[in-house]
Amino acid sequence: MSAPDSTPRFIQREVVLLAILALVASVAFILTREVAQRQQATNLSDAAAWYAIGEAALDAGQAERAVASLRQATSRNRDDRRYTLTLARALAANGQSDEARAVLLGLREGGPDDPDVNIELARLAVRRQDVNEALRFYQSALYGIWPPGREGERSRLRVELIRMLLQREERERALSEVVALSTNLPDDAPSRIEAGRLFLAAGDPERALDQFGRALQLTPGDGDALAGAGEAAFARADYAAARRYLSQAPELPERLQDLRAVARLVLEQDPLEPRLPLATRRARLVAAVERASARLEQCAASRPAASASLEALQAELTALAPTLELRALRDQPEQIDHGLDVVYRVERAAADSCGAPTAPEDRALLRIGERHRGAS
Amino acid sequence: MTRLKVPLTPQQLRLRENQIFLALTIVIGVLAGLSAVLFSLAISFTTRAFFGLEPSWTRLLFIPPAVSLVTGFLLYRYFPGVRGSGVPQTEAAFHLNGGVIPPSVPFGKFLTGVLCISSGHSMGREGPSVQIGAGIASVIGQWLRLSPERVKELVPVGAAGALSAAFNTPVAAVIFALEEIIGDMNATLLGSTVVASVASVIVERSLLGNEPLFHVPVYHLVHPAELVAYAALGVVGGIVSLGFSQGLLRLRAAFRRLPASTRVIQPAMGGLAIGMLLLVVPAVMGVGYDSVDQALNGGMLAGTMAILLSAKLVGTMISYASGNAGGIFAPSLYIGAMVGGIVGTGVQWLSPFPTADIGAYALVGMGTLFAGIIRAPMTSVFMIFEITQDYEILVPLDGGQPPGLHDLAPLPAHAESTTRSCSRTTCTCRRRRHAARFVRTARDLMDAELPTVSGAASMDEGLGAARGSTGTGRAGGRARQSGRRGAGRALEAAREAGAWGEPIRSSWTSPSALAHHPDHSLDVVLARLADNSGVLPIVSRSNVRRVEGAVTADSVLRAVSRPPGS
Repeated sequence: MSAPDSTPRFIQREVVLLAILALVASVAFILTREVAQRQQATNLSDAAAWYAIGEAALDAGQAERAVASLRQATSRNRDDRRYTLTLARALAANGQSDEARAVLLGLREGGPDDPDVNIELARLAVRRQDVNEALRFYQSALYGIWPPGREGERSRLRVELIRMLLQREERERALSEVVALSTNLPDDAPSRIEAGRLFLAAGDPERALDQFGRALQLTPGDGDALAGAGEAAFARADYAAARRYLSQAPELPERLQDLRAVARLVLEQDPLEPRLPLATRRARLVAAVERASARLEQCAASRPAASASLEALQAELTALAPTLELRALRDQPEQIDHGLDVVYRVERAAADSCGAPTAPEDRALLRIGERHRGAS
Repeated sequence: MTRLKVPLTPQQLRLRENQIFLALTIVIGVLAGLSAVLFSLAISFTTRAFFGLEPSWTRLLFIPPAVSLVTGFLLYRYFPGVRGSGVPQTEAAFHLNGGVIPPSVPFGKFLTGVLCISSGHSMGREGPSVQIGAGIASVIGQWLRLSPERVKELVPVGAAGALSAAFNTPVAAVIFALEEIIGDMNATLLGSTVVASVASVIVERSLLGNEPLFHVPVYHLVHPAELVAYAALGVVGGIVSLGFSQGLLRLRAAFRRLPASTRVIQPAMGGLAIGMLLLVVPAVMGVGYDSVDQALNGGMLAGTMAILLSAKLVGTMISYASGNAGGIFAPSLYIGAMVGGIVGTGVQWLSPFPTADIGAYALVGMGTLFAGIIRAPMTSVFMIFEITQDYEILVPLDGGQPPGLHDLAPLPAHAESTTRSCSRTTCTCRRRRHAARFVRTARDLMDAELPTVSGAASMDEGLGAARGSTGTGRAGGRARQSGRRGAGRALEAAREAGAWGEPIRSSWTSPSALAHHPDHSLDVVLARLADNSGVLPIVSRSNVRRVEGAVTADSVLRAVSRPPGS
């Protein structure tokens, strides 16, 4: 550097120069920070603009354009989870499920309790037919941290989960979710009707009827509630209630009209209906045997391969004839039960061999048989 | 009572000097970091100004050539030393110019680099940042009137600081300075580069946040057999590196063959080609880290990656070879990510065992191509490690290193600068660095064939003998010529001292009584050469009266310039 004799001055000079440099560095730092902040602001505003373009494209069904725009948005602003989430949705809409999943899993690392991210992941899992993963992400979403005011969305999400499970015949899992749903529902008719339908679909007509009943208490005469209650009553073999509810409903779809007809037939053709005179019972039984015999013949004609087993049933039906006399029935009233059992087995066998019956009369006979088989 | 001023002892002076140098290192680290951040910000601002939010086709087509006309003029007229990435020029400054970089270099590099990269040229910002940082360090050293040794030492310090901020990878920046700039992993400058690198990255993170350069997924080696796939990736990466380097050199040579009058518009010619390329593949514009990020996260199909790979290779070759200012660090990472992604897709299709995501292959591919093109394997490994913060990545990264294929290339692509002179200097300092690893003893450095003159002969006779000796062949001629020059200089010095006509023996006094032998190390030889008037006679160990040769400055330079192992 320099000779020792000039050392103090030399060193002082270097220290002063260093101090000047440090000052220059400080000023440069402040200026650069200013520039960086402006750049950051520009980036954020550009990201917002790209996000708007991408969202509009996604709404318009232009998934590819949406992906390109949202990529621009996320590259300029990586911190806004909305942008990334919408990008994932756009990717999924564009058929890029794997990438969408990767993006969402990245987001999930930063917030495992984020319901929106978990919902999207669950939907992607549903697309991949991975019920277990879907269930895991749906559960994570349901029990995640929901912002205030979005409780309704949580219920809707549970409904979505239940429907997914029902579509995949996971009735038990679905039923437990419906039970959870029903405990957190607002006490209004639409919510109760929704819960009732889900209970019904999950195979719990008892609880379904409770929900529809509550809905009718809240809104007497509500058509949907009446229809639902009728269907639930039908499912639990309470045909009288079913006919009552379905008859009160102002408008019914064809399916429920058909149910109403079957319910009416069950009540009108059941030989074991309480408080019936014996002659009426006999008449109903005879009509049932004739109907079953016709069904058997029709089925045997269309399915010759199954005729051997059907012929045996036909023989049973023929053997019933002497026992259906009024006198015989008076002596042996249990023959009514026997006759009804044969009719049920014939209808069952025909249904197994030739498919479910379409005529309301045959369906009613099946229902009548089922109604009394547990009791016999 | 007056206080006596006691002069500092040499030891105290050295201590103070070291302290000042340490403080200076920190300040340079801060300034280099600021320059790198400002460079990056300026590129972003200017790109936005040039192309807007969503560029129209007219902008894509016409902005690159229009801006390149301006930069071409600036590069031709005012800043001829700042074309290309700037790393070879920095190496040349360190190895050949004593670390002296003119103030116009960092300024010119900043200006032209911003214009070139933001006008759409397929080039990176990290290489220019290195030259800017090194330039700032050198200029400060000169301004402070530091010793030439210290000025030279500041060059890798500034380079490390700038790269640390540019990549947000402080360790890799230190490794880069040692491996690439200094060319010696055992350099004593390790401490200074670490200090500057850390100071720089602190500045960068305080300004831009601790945002990683890429958002990478967590890496896992899914199956041990995958290492074979990574080795295959290394081979593919080596071939692509080689092809890229060769292609770039040939295209550069083609540009050089054009008439000299076109030199000022060559960047614009490249700009026009880039404009047309951008119309078809806009994703190759500029640095292109968005696409890299996308590939790393498995967001690209193999077909898309193949298109981007081809476009990036062509775009970078054109931008670089046409003489624009910008680096190839970023393009090599880009190309590597695409190559890795394509190989990863192939492995996923063909592999009978479960494999990692395509993003993992893209990540390893980045390291492979970086090592293959830049020829800095240690830097590449540490850089990818720092980006991922994942120890597991080290094994596939080692497996994915190009297996010696890059040695077939005449030079790493970035070393071949855009001017003939820089190409030569870079070549020279690279060869010198490589050769220095092989030259070990005086035997390797000395000229064996020398004219000998009796000590009883007069100076006049001695000088005549030195001038008159002839050699056979080019090599022998060079050796004799060097010997003549060495002896001649000594004799001329004796003549100037008024000893002309006296016997040589009377004037030839070695300042050292030490004998110099063929097995003496390079360090010893160089230290003694400086004390021996530029000529160091090498004598046999068994017979000190037998002269085996002589080491001169010329013979040292020649030995160091020889290709390794020759």
